[in-house]
Amino acid sequence: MGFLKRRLPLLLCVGTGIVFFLQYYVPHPLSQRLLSEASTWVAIVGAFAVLLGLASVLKTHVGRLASVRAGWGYSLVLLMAMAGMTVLGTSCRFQDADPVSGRVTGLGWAYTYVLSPLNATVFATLGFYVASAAVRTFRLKSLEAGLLMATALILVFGRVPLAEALWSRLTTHYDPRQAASIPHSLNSVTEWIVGVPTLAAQRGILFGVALGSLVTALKVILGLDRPYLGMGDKGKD
Amino acid sequence: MGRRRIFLLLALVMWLPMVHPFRFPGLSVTSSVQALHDRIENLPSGANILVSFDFNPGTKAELEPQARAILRHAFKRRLTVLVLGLWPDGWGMTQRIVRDCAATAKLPVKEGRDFILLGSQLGDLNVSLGLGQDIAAVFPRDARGIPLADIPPLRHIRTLKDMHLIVSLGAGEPGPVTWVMFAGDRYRIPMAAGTTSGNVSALQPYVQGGQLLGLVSGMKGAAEYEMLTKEDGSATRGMDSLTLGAFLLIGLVLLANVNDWRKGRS
Amino acid sequence: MTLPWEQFLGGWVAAGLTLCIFSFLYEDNPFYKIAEHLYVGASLGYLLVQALFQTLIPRWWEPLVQDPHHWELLVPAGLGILLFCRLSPRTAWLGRWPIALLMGYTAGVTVPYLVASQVFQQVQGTIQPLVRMKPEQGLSVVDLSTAGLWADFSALLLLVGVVTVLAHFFFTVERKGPVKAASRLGMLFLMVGFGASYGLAVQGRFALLYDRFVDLKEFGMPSYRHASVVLAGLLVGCLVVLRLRRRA
Repeated sequence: MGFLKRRLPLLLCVGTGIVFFLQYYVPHPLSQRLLSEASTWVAIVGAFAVLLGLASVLKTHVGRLASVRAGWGYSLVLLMAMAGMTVLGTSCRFQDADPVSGRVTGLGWAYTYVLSPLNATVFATLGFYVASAAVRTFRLKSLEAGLLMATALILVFGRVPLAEALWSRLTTHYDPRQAASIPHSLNSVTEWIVGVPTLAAQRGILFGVALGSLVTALKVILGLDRPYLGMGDKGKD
Repeated sequence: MGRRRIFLLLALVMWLPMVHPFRFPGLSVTSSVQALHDRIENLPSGANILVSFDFNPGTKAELEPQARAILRHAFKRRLTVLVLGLWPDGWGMTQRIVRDCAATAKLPVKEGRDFILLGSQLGDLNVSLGLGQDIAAVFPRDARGIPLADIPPLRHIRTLKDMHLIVSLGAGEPGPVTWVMFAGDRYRIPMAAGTTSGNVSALQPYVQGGQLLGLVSGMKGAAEYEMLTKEDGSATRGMDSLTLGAFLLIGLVLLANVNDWRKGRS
Repeated sequence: MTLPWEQFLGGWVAAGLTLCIFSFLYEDNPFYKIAEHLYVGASLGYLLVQALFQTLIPRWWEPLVQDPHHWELLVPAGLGILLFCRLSPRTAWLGRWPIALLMGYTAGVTVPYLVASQVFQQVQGTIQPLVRMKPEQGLSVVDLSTAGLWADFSALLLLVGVVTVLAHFFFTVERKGPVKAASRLGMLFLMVGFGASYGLAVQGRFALLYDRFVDLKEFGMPSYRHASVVLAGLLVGCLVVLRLRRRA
């Protein structure tokens, strides 16, 4: 049983990892065919994983509803929304509009007037918090804090059209017909800040993340890291 | 100043231009937007471009104007546009945007001839990898349910290698970085991206490294593209609100610092 | 102008849901919670339908049942079904097989692309502005860039910035002497980077806000019978009542 529970998953992971690592370097048509088939299989397994995730959410919220725990009303709303969207989507086969008449389907209506505004507003609310956080935390307390604040304000200022016009008026005689060709414009300043010191910081972070991801992937391929073995039987064989 | 007062001030200041448009002057085009525009402008009629809508309604404020500007330009240049999406909850919006652009295009644009809506798939890197081998294996049918083999332009377009340009519009994963890694760099296909303002710095390494030939950033980038294509789109109209919001923020931050300094002195 | 009934109703629903989410700016309240759960439920339902109609049916079911039958597709289906064994503690260990395969596949496929795109290309991008090759001289001669003083300074600053930022995250060497100085310089570059990212993000978030205001303005028009205004008034009224009841 130990073989099936621990050794076999390890062999599957290491084997698949090595095969697909080497696949990149093998230009033979069979290798390309292998990648094509594998990507289809992974997509199918991924779709089943989505169903598993949904089943898990259903289990949680149906449980809360059945035992009438705190927040059961909200769970009911969630389940009704999920059921409603599923029924609408299935009845029109995931078409937003009728292919012949062009009339909006139930799914199209629910997407446009329920899902889309909710999605957009949840993220838009952050705009208020971003502004409030900036006002409350940007202070000239140290060199680092000052640099952070100065750069943020320069970028906020530098990416709005009126600022470009004001800057041009301050630095040179402003002629709207020549706006795009004025040298050393505010655009150049912000492009330089984003394209040099910010790029340096981002590239350093990118290297770190890439090397970390590389090491993690290699550890998984070599079987040194086995996160999948922590699942089931509370880690026991 | 209390948090709620800041919220109210911000809302009022951003609402004002919607009631009374100011049309502030001074918008100028950045080099990375110009680069993408020039690339599309110089593609021959009938060239194939893939536009990947890697966003959902949460970021449509910045990415939808970019998508519209780029699509309108592509339709004007008579390019064959393939459209797909990698974010599950963005597909409804994608179809609406593309069909709306087609319906309002100056020249007649027909689905199945000038543009093909392939569909939306979960699986990020897997989708790019699969498309690099065989587009029909990833999307057996288009959004109307028609098999790809029955769509005339797709008889000569089999894999990503048949694309003259890939444009990824997105702000996270999967998105432009996924396309750069698994399509642009792998198959040496020219790539460009559109992204939100917040994600611009994360994509700078790819722009500077030559992996992205152009980058449209945020609503300002969309407004720049509209300026280049001589259109008065939603991004241009939105810059007024962004301008006033920016000045309010700068004013409040400076005021708060002056206040702190005065308290420190006394 | 008379709108179609579904558009009219949709306007009221969208305005109401938008205002419910915005009500969180005042304080957490039942209207926000209902809208939030509605969002989660609708998203999950949409995801389910998409998984069915965009992946499972066209890429698995149809090739399996239509002629010619692709019987090999029973294998990924079997692996997918094994995933469901995770729902029961007794059979959860069966879920290790498909997950191990997925992890091995993703790790194996990702490594060469990471090395090519995120390491080699980025190193090249850092060094290239400083160095020029001159193949027209018959052999490759490495020469410092002659693009101009400012371009050279920027390229040098970029190299210094990348190296010092990496030094800042190198925790296995004691921070003293040159390492400490490099780490501090790296920190300054990081502050500039984060400040720029924040400044850019602010504009992004303001754009998202603007978009919602545009929709609320549209739904406040006479064609929608001033839905935004009416619903905003109702919502404010309800929140006031809730607050008064809590105080009492």
